[in-house]
Amino acid sequence: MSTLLIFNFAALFLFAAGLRGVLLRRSVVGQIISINVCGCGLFLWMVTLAFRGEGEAANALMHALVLTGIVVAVSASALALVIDSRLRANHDE
Amino acid sequence: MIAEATLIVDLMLGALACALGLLSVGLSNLKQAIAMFIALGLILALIWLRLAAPDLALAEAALGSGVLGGLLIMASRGIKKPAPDHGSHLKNIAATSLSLLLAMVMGYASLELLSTDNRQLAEVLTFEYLADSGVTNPVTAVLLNYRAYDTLLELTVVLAACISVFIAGPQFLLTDKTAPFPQRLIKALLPVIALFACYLLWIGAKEPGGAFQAGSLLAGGVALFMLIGLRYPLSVRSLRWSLGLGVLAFLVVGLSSLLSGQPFFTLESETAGLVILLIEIAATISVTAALAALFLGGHPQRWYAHASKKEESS
Repeated sequence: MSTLLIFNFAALFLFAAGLRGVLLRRSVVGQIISINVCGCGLFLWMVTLAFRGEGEAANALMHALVLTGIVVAVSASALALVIDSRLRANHDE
Repeated sequence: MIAEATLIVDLMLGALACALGLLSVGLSNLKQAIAMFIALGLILALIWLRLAAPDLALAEAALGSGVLGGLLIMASRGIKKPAPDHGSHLKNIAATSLSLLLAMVMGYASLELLSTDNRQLAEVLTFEYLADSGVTNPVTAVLLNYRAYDTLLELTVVLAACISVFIAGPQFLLTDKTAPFPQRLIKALLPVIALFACYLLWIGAKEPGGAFQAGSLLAGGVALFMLIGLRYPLSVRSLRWSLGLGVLAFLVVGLSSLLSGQPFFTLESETAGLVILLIEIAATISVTAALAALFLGGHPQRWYAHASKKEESS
């Protein structure tokens, strides 16, 4: 049981939980939360794979990819939330 | 002794992350689910610290918890009763088993990947040529020198999302409906946030930090500024320029190296540090303006009209 195994398991657990949420939740905001949880799991997985040990520096390329991923995930989630908000506003009129 | 202590910390962090993930996905009350998601972002930031990724910790805390959490809360404000989640039993079992199956396949792949010990080309590039890249922080070197094209596209995605929100959105942020905020506290915090964001931007060349961390922190500050009833701090014309500045700066640098006969976005060793700093400043302004404008939820013109109407009536 090492650090890598713990976080690897946690990452894949988050991924599975997020995927289950996307498939089962009915409200769009809930689905967006689930997609983001799924994404968090994937990012954690990538950073765990990039880890090289306690004292050594990790793989910077993977970190940059995950950073880009976080920013893009936030932008896409914001757009999805606004579209859902607009759909609900149109539906209620 | 130290090894066991850190292992226990890792175990607690991992267990907390799993529990929070499960709760944020499973709770039907949206406000509670969003609270769990924000907490998950915080735990994830601590895990990034454990995995030697301080840049990611800064970005995750500001973006994943701060900006996304705020947007989720705004979006969930209009929902009275979310649609109930209970599907049929068969659907539940099918979804759970599909997710677990996929996760187990990925787990098998990761066991293979974790046990191989090859030095990647990326690490060779990052560490052996780091002195020539103009910065000393390897993540900044990858983001703004080796993989600068990806960062250009990332800035374009943020800009595109912002424009799409302007076109598609009704309004999120109605200042007459916000709860009373501690105005003096936030007004006192804002200069500290701005100073810290400038520090993160400046130090990004040497230590963990950089354009996206600084931009997202400043965007959180601007969001606080908007929440307590003050205006969005830019006029519509300067908003357009601020949004486009990041992509513009990148394209100017990239195309100018095309003009001198070299491939797109080639940096010279001597001037690389300065050029990267200038691009980072432009990118920070862009990211701040875009992320803060996401909180407006609609076109700023409508917000300004609403705000001026409120001033006339009050």
